[in-house]
Amino acid sequence: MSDGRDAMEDLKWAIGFDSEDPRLGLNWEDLSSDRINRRTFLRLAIAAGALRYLSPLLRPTPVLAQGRPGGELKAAWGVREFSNFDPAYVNQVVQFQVTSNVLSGLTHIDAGLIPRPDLAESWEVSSDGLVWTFRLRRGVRWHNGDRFTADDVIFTFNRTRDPATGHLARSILNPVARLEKLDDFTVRFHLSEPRASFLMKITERASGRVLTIVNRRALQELGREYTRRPVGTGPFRIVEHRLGERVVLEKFPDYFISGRPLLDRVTIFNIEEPATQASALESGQVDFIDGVPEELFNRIKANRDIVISTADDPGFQALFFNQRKDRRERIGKDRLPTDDPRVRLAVAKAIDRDELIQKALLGQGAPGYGPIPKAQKQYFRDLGATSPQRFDVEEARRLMREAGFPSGFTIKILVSPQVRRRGEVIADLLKRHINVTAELEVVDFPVQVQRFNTTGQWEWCQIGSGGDPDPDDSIDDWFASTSRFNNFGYSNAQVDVLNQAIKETPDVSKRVRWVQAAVDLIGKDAPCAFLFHLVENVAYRRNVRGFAHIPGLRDLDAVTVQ
Amino acid sequence: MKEYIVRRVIFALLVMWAVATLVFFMMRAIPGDPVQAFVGFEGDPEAVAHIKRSLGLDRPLAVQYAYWLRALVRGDLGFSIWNRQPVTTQLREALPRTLSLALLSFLIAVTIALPAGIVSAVKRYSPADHALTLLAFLGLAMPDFWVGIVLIIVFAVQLHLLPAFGYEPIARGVWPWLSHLILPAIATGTSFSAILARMTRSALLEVMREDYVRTARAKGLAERMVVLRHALRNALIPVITVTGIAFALLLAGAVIAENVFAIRGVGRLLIEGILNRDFPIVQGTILVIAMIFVFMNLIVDILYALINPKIRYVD
Repeated sequence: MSDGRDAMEDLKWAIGFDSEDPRLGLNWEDLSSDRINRRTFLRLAIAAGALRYLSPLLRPTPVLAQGRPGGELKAAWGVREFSNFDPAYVNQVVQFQVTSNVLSGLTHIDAGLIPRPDLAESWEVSSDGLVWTFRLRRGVRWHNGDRFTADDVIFTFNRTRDPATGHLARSILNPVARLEKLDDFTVRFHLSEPRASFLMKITERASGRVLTIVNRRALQELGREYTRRPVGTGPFRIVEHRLGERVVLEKFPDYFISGRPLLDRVTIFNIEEPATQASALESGQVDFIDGVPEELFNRIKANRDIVISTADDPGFQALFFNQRKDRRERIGKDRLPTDDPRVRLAVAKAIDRDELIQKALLGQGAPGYGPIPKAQKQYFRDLGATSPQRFDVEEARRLMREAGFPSGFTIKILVSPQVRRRGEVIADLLKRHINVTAELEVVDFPVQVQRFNTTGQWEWCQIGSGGDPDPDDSIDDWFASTSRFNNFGYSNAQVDVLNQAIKETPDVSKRVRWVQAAVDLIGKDAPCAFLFHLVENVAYRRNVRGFAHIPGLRDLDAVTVQ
Repeated sequence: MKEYIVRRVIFALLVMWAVATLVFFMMRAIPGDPVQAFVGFEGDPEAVAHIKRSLGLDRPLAVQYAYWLRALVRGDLGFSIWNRQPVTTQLREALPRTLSLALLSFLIAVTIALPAGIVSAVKRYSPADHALTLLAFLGLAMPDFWVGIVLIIVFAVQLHLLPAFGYEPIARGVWPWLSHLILPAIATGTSFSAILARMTRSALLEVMREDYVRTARAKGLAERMVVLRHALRNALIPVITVTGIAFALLLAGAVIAENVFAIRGVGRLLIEGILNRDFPIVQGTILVIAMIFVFMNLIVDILYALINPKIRYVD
């Protein structure tokens, strides 16, 4: 701990940030839910430069245009099957999109990616950030009629932690030393180190999922079937699930938020082929599709019966450079041209993001210069004009000459078939601007992930991150020396120190600054060339109302169909 | 005949064992670890190790093979690594979809191909023949997925006559079942009918040059009788061979229509399994497809005997 504190003092000095500033100071207690007052909110918002998001907060909560309750929503999801709804085995973001309508957590993020109460009514955090006490909602019913109590939280916690469960995200619980039941409706977490993203990464119902609460009796009764038809406390319950074909959700009448959900029924079909998904929407066979394929965006946009809701995807896409130490055994090469930081920067500067987005995504994306996505509104800064990675052909060529590669080199880029077009555009840009010949190595996505993460058999790799509501998802997961996805051999002691501070500091204003500092360092070091952030386009027919678009999620509890 | 069939069935079982074994080892030889594929980026090493242990994937290959074979003999195809559901259940759900689709595609193909082939052969080089030939080449040239997408745009989006996707079991009514299958069956059936029509035409043309056809004509039979009774019967032999194998191919090949029309049939299950490196799904699906192939071959051979009296399987 003390090392971390010293480092933070150094940081404050280095960044020249005045932590005594009365307007911006914020401590752990301010994050307790019943103490978040207007003053705190103002501080948070000012600190984040987010004043423009404030106006709705100061007015009564805006009510989305709503229609009559009742009716059925027919929707199509562009995924082959919903393999698992049991939070322990959820392995794709799309599966959260359904479970978020069925299961609950202690907290749930809103459209601004701020954690709000879900099964927890309120919470308190100690001044050192190590003890979190949650008061739970009373009178909550499970879909099978059971009563929800603190025991369910304890059960879920133990289940996640038990290695025999094989929970895919088990390690996210590592900072929690123990969980204590104070009474039937109060639980207390004891952390081994403070964690600013606790409410987001650990207790959140959809993105967190280590503590997405599961029902003990249903798990025992249903066994393997639980992952197909989980029992939760959410607004909808699953009444039918034909794997790879459809999931039918029905209104749960005893849902703890009265008046929700508004729909009686939701049927979600699995339609993997984008053209069919679009046609199903146009023909009215479905009212809602979870994504609009880039190549059909204009066709759907031109349709007057259809509305497109756009949100920034919480993630980033990048071209990674292999700097691992084991390259001799893995790829038979001791050196790659991108071992030279000048070459890495030259590659980043030779990529015209606008052209790339236009050609590879048909315009559906935003230029990327760092790991923080636009969706993290409090933390994102537009670096288009300042990033060391910004497009500049002359500078890129100069760096190449300096590094001794005036006539380029040849390299392999590992891509998956789904993003082949990106690879081709990047290869073309690099050839044109700095005479680098990039050969695409196209392998199935699972093979790409395995080679990138485990076997290290790659030179460059185009891959990215998704479902990142907090800076920890963007920096701590990827760019610290010991990050779990840092399989590209990047290490910068300053970034590590900043990362530790970002992880441990509740004060958003400080976090914002340190995130900026880390992003600047990462941009300059260029362990990867940042490419773009995707955008999420959800489309629905005009008769669908009340859809509040939380980036990455598709919550349907406020939706109606006319 | 009986002994022949018994012999064939034993042989079929051997073939299936060989196919199953081949797939078992091939899946393990291609790059991509199934558990790594499943856990994706999360890849908590402990979770990976635990899942591998629980699936028996940490054991030596020979042991895995022995366990798998023992389960197979008992009709147990195991559980999917991805969705944790039994493979047999998933195949049981997928088979009726694919069988319905293949059967309907087959009917459509034969209904178009046989008359077209016969007309083309009998009226060789006539405008009708040229037109049908052109149509056949068009049918061959248009990719199934494209035909599917166009059909959806015309019949679902523009005319609102038929659903754009999905499947309803026949238990929910004949029309719901049929209406969901018409478009995918046309998409799959047209290219197949083109092949079949060309096959019928050339086979019939060859037979029409035979002496016995000349004899039939010489004894004053009506041309209709000559073609249908004498020529077609013999011409059908190669056609049936192709048809039998093609029906089996349709079962596996309906995957394109299954994908475009979001029908989770056997083909789609297989593709999914391969992409996910889901060993049990791939093994189970290939085994079923192999079974269908072997069975169709058997049917074809028996049909030969029924159609051509010259072919008899002596005991």
